[in-house]
Amino acid sequence: MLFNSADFLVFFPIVTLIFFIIPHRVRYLWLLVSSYYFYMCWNAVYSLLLFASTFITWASGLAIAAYQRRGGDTSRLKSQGIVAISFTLNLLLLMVFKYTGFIVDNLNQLVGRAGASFTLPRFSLLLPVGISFYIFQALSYTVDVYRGDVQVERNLLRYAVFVAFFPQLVAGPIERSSRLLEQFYARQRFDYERMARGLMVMFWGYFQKMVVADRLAVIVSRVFDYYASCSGLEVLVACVFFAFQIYCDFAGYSCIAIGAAQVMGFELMENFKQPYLGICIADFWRRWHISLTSWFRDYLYIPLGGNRKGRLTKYRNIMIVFLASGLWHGANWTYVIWGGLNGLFQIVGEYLRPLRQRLKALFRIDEGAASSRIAATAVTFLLVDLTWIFFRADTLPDAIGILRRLFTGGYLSSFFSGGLYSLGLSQLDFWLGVLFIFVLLTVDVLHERNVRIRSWILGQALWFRWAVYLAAIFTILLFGFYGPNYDAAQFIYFQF
Amino acid sequence: MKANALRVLKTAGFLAVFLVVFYFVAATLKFKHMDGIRPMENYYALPEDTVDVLLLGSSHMGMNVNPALMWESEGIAAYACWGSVQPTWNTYHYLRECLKTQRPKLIVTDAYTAALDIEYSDYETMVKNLLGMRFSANKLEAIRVSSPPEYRADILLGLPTYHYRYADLTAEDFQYYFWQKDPSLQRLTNSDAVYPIRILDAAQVTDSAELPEKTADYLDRIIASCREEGIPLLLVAAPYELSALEQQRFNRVKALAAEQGLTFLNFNEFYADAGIDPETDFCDPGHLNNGGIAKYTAYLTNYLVSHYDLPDRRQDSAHIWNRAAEAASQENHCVYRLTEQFQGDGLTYLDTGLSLYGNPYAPYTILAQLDTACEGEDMVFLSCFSEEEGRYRGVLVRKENDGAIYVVFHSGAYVTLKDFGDVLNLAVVKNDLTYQVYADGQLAGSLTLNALDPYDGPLLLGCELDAQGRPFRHSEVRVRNLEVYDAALDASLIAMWQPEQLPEPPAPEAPSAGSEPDYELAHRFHSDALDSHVDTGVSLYDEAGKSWTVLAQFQEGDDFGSGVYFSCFAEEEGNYRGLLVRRAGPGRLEIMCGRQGTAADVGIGADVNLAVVKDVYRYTVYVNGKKLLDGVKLPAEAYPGHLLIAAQETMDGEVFRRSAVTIYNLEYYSGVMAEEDILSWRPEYKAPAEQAAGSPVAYTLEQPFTGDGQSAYIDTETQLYDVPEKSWTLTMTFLSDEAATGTLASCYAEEPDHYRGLLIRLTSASTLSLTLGAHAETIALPPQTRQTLQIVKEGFTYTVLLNGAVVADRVESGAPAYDGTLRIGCQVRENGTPFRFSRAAIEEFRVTGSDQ
Repeated sequence: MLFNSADFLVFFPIVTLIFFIIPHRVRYLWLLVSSYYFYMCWNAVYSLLLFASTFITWASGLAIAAYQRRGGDTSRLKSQGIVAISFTLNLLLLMVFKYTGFIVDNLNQLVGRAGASFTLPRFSLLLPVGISFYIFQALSYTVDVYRGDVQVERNLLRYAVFVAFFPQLVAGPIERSSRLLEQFYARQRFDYERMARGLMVMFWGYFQKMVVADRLAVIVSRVFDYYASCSGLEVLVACVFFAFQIYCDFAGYSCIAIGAAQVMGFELMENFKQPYLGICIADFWRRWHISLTSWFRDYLYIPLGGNRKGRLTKYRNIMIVFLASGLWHGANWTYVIWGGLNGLFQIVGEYLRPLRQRLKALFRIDEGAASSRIAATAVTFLLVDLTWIFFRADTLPDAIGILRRLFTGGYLSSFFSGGLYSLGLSQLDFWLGVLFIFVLLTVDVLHERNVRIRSWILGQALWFRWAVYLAAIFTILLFGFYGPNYDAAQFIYFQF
Repeated sequence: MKANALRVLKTAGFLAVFLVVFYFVAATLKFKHMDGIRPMENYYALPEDTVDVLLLGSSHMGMNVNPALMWESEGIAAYACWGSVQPTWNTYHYLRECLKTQRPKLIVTDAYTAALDIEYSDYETMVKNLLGMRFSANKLEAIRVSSPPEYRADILLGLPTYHYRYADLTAEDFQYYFWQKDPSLQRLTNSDAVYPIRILDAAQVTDSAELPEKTADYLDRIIASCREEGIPLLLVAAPYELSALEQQRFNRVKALAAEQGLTFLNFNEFYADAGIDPETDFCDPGHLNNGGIAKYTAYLTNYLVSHYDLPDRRQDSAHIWNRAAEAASQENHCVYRLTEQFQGDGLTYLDTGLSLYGNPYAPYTILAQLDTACEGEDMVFLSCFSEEEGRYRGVLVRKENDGAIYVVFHSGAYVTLKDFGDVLNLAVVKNDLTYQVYADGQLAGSLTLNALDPYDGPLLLGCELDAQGRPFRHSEVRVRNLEVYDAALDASLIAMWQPEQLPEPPAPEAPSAGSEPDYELAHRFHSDALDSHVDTGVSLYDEAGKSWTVLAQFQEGDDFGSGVYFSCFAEEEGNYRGLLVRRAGPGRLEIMCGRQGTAADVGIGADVNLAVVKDVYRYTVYVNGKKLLDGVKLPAEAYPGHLLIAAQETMDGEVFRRSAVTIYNLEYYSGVMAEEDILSWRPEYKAPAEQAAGSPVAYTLEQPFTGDGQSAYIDTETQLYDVPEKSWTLTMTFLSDEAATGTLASCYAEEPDHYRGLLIRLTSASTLSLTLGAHAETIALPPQTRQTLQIVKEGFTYTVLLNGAVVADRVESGAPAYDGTLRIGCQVRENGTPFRFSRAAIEEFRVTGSDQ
């Protein structure tokens, strides 16, 4: 079930209503049923996979707790063994269902290059929705129990809600057991203002997803599919649009998840924090998909030694984390390159920092000045957007081809010939897209300056609040991209 | 607790506001397709017991049968509730929906889609056949059976299917809200296009094919539903370019109908009976054009009347389509409606453009609301009246000195009204030769004439036309409202007439002139009375009430031409109008404003400073600072012509009365200029424009030319008259042989009524004919074979030498410019092609400009 489907519009109010009606002690069961239903709407059989991952990590938690309680010399080793088993089993699941095709293809290529004529059979499994998210979330529990950061959960069903909690099940934020699990014990009371705030977050999410991301997606997919026939300007616009498409798509989903959880009284972690206002790649990654970045930090970067073992190790660790992150995003070399570029930019940035600081001193550039910040933000955005080309392109040659098209010109002619408006969005819809990007950036800048927009709205007079709500709802209803999509021009009166 | 109650209330309030906004957004954005959605939505607006014959089906019903024709010919109350390519399951659900609010006496359904083999329609068709239905269990079921699962929620919610239309809204999208219902009789017009179709000999297709399962299932349900409800069902199939398979399926429908005891009329089998011609009656392969619609509807109507017991609902005055028809018919008969009050000012009038007596037997009704408080003799409120001596006829409403209002129809045939208030509601009804006059809704008089002649004049407010057709008796009257119908309305409608208050006419107020002229003569203009004049492009009278100021400085008099300094004047016999400034005699200046004007003695050859100001209808004229007219009110009428300098224009737009004048300055200002500005207007005299030199003249014949009388000629490519006053010298030596007669050389405009230029023709061995500009000269040649001719042109004077002797000395002959070139051995037609080729024998030929 997608958040932006009519089904969810029915599902969510019913789940919420019943959640607050039934007694507290059975609420987690209700959430479990709802969450599994939510998942099974997409594919019933794959819920077994969800359950398998849940069961493995739950059992691993119990085992680790048991060993640790028993104590002794070997308990640490045995616990580590359990952690290893849990990781192996879960990552195996992930590999089988997500990376089989990728591995087989690459093996075949290698084998083919070696001159052998035999090929492995290519079989592809349907990628289970959200598998990367819930497996990582479940794995964090194993480690947290091992580290003693969280109490072991003995109730399988309560633990299962933690893994399958429907707002964040399929696209994050990847929650930590230390934050979320205990919230299933707390007694949620219905809170009118909290609901209003949660709904506002949801609307903001819907706006990002349906109005901005899905609108920009029209042009992005057209250009990325047919870049060979596009002008430089069109490719540039598509690349910039894609930066906002993926931001709004991802952050929008997170907002809906956070808002939906908030309506029911759960607090999920912030996942995006004005990423494009970052002033360097490292800063960008502190703001982008925070729950994943921090997962890699806590469970990969730090165990690898982090930055405590010298510069070279640090650089190696950064590269490992970003290559892994690339692979986590998808089974394709384009994602690996994307991750690698992000790692590389950070390392180069760090390596050149002394030089940059000398230059700044030489030219008396004040780092704190607004102009410096804007320039740094712009450069960061350019670099990030460059990596997005690899993220979005279907294959590596496509990514290279798109980069080439960027420099083929046709900028002015394409602007004046209206080529931009022939990429699937009419002139009006195109400029609406640009306008909405500005709305988005304005909100981001306000957030960056710690303006609390929701609180400010709630502090206004009733008529104003209602006007804001109505404007938000109808902006989504009118300008959102949803419903049967067809070329309006073909829908002509009296054409029978 | 209280806080909670308040919150519930607030939430409910918000939801209510949301729903209201949602309604307007959805009603604006939703589809308004006439082929599926509107027919269903309009159906809901019909009052109970309106429809006797319910027409169902696809466009083969909706675009082929015209319910209005059924109503007008037999009073059958039919309504077509149809949708584009409507499958039988949608027809079934439309039927269920229709039977909720109406109880028809007959259901007719078109079986076209029974021949269609589909599981679901395409998306567009689904939308057209579902979105018009109101929410109900029937609609849910209709959505379930007609759309694949992925579309169902979107179609049910509606908005997902049309929310993107914000970019495509037109005025039409803002006229379908809940208070704008349209229960009117359906009136179908399709195309007049003709598309010949190929028809199948349906009789040859005798075998039948099974109907697709889903289609057949719902056809059965339609039949069963009608049976359950006890309503007779007639199946039809409109003619179209059908395939053999479709005919086979129709055969199956026929068999099915026979089993069920129903009639199936497949019109594809009786083109001849219905009189439908496949060559002329279709506009596309599937649909009839307007001619075809009329035939098909007529045939179907006759069939319905003869086979079913259907009431003539035109007799039922309570039926909504009757009431609507009545209101519409009165409305349809209204041929004129005043939009703002008319206020006559003694100069203006209003021409309605209506001819009430073009056909003297045609009925009419005039409803007028008059202000009776006006003083004066012969105050004409309205007239459509011939003042022809001894044949007075028409209608004339006027108030006379005795305070009574007379409604005059003929000599001695009038109705007098004496009893009225300040405002009178007057009605004049003409029915054949009988007149009835109503005052304030009461019959005030009635009379019948013996005979009546036609009269073509228009109905005017505020004046009459005299015997010659010119407006006169301009009256200061006020007509508050006026409606004219081309039918005799009955007394009850007249008594009920409640004229609405019309806006007052805007008081004419003259704008003041700006500081910069709207037109200014660029150079001193000197005319030779030949072809030069100036069209300023300014219209002084394109509106009769226009205000303007014209300032001019010019020299009195010239002996040449018609003495017109400038004009914007309609030279219409009996209806002169506009402004004309001309020389009435030596030293005398005349300024005509329409038929009236003024004159002044300014002295022969003196410089004149003239200002004419028109302030709506008031003229002020200054000559050399002296005020000749001071705000005199003169009638003015619209005239579209331009202000011309040194000429006038005929009514056909031809320039005439070209005059030789010298104008130093002329300025036109729209609006009224202040007196002190007029009196201080003494600009420098403008310098004359530089004279154009024209193209160079230099040509020498290189070798002797001998014409062949058929096609030989020489184009010297030299223009002699591109500037009329150009000076040049032409010298030629030619043989004056009897065999060499004809055109020797020409630079001559062959324009009927406007021949001009140079033409040298040898008419015989001893005569030479010359045309010099506009002047003709015949010269006798001495008895020698070789002659030398020289023509010297200086300005407009020509000197001709023959063999060294002057034969014509300083002949003055002006001719307007001509852009043709000098030819040897031929002439050219008006369109530039050469003709009149001669056998001229020319030994030497040379032409040079004055500067060589």
